[in-house]
Amino acid sequence: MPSFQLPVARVFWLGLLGAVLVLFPFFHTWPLLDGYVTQFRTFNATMFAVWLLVVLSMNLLTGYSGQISLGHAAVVLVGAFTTAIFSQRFNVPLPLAIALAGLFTGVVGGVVIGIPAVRLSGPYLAIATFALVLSLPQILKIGGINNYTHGALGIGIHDLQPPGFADRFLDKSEWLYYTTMATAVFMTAVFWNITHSRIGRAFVALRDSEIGAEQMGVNVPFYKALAFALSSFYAGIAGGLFFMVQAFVGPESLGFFDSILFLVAIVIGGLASVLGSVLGALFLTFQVEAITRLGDVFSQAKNLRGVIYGGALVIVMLLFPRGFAGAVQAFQSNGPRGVWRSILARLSSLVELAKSYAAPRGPAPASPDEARRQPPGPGGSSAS
Amino acid sequence: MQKSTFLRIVLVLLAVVLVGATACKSSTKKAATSTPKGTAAKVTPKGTSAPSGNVPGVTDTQVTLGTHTSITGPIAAYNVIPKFTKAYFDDLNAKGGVNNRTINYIEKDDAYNPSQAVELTRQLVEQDHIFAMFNALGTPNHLQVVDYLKEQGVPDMFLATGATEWVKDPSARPMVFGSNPNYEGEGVALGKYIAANYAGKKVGVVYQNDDFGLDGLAGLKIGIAGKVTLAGSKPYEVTDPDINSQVDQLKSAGADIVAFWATPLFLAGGIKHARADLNWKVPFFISSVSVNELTATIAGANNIEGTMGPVATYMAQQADKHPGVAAHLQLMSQHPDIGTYAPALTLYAQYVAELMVETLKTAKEPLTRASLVKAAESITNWTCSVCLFPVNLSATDHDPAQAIAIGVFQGGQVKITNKAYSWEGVKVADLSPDTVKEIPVPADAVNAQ
Repeated sequence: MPSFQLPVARVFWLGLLGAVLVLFPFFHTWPLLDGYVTQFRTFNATMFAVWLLVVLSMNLLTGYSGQISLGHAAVVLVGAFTTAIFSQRFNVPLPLAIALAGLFTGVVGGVVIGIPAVRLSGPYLAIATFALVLSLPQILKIGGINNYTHGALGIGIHDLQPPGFADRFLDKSEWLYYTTMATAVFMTAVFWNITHSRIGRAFVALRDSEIGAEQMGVNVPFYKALAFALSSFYAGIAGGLFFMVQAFVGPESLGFFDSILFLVAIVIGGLASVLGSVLGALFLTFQVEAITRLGDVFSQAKNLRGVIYGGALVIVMLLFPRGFAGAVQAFQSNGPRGVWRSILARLSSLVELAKSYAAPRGPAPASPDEARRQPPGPGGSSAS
Repeated sequence: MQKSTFLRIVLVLLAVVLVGATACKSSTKKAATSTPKGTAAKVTPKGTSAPSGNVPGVTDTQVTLGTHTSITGPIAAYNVIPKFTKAYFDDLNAKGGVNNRTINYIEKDDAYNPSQAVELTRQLVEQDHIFAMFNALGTPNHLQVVDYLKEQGVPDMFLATGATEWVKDPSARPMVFGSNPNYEGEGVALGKYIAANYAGKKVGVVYQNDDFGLDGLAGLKIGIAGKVTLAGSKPYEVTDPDINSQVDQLKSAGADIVAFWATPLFLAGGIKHARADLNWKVPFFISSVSVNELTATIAGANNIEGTMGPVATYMAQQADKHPGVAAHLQLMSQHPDIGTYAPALTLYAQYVAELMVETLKTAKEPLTRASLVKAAESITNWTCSVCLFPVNLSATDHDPAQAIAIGVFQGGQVKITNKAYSWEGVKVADLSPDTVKEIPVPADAVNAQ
């Protein structure tokens, strides 16, 4: 008999989270918090909601289903442009335009990327999606299409106002925050349900072994296409919200570099995890500012943006193979000690690995001279 | 036990909601008392030092300007511009500032990424409470924020671009000012020069596939006015690795002259490919954005020799004859961290910084955003210390530099020829070979052989 009683602690934390999310835009007016939270943070939080959907979409594809896409920014951009064209050219109401954009990218993603992806896997798929993100700006600018996309000049929203009933309590940025955040929270809940359902398990089976999944009766081509369709749907909605929040989209608004950042975000946050997606979205929201702040302390940091991303990625992969979400889970089950122990375990296994590489193979060299002439090979696992 | 825990949780939540509700109420009240649109007054900081006259970013002793620009990223070569501007303002502050106010210049690095530019611009407006944007760089980035700045009522002074989009209709963008000679104007001027010197030949164009390249191409087509035919026009994307294949295509199309609207790295690679790999000796014409020493260094002095393009300032090698350039180099020598690889770029920075200071100086007290825009619009016949030609602005003309001289690369340096063109006061829509007129170059500027 399943119990409908939720654990009290969970109700408390969810309630607190809900209260924070609802009241966040007003924090900067509170007497105690206004020193820490400025009005600008409302925009940060709004963008967080957009990035959350992007990261969820990316995580569904890469984290759950194991399909690597380097072109996800292109899908988000298509979502943004679809919303822009529907809402600004054909005067479709903005929420409907965003929903249409989601459906459009969902269908296009499922058919145009999903079906070829059945035959392409691993690096080939990554290259194909990479081509997508490189070619999209040019496609958006070619004659004919640029009548709709305005070429390099992009499309802006000129008169976005909150609907009349909200006018009295909310200004524009607060209204944007609530609509975006509500969408993100709702879609995160849906995401949680999808990934914990039969479909989610099929995705995971697909990721772990295609042959194994097929043996268990998973329709591999169907679920692969479905993973792309669902992921593109989320990306399309995120793109629509991106357009609404930023009030502009151009062919260069999101590009190859953003695609890479999305990938970095899910790895740092944690693959195949909703919590990881939230942490990844936090990373996307604050990465620019974090590096700028770091630059105040250590002036070269500003010039080393790429090095810092790369370094952070390597460190996270070495110490927290399941991203920061993995660290949080270790903390939940075993407290700070659990985190520390898992880091130590990773470090000691790395040291072991390094030792095994450094250790001489075969018969021990007779003299130091000989050892110098025969440096240990890099391939630790190679059978020599 | 569970019941009491639950009760406590409910109580805590209630308390939070109540505190929040009072806060909501007070903020609604605040919104009600603010201006009808609820925008201009809302950006005013609460609790920070109260600015005089309630204008964001202005106090009696300081004015805060901000920018989003490329310190890192694909066009980081331009970072000498914000670096020099900062040095110029610091130097000015040490001498007492402008109208007894020091300039606090906040430059934020968007790495040429539009979504980062949005975040940084919001931060500048909502958190740093800037008075005005100044010399923001990058058309795709700035397109992403220009409507936001307009909505917030932030003056958008002297963008680091010559795209016609910004200046073609000041009534649509009443607070936006350009700074470079616009690309279409320079296109007409170069086209006119080509038509006069190479009549009957065929010109090929390589252009960046955005408003920068498209403006230039449009201008060139107007300028050549059928006297020179178009052998072909080949676009490239900023994400492309190079423009070699475009150059190859123009060569096989039989172009006698090539014009490039390309940024320094692309351009230098293309010129090197044409001269060194293809041994193709046709004349080259390039956009002002690449007429600097950096391009010559990358392309190689031999390869770029004889290439022509528009210039608007004196050049660094003229310091002995020109006090403005000498003062510029003097300031540069005090800031070795700026980087001296492209004096043409820092000379440009000198021009925009002086233009901003002139605007602040002219602005009537009390200094407001409206008075700043008005001051900029009142600048007439003002020449910066390193400029070749005067700046004229008005309510219908937000395009300060509308004259160029033809420069030529000689011995790895940019030299100034005795040809110059002006389209002063001409609207973008009215650019034609007749409205772009030939004008004399200041006699002390000409140094090309």
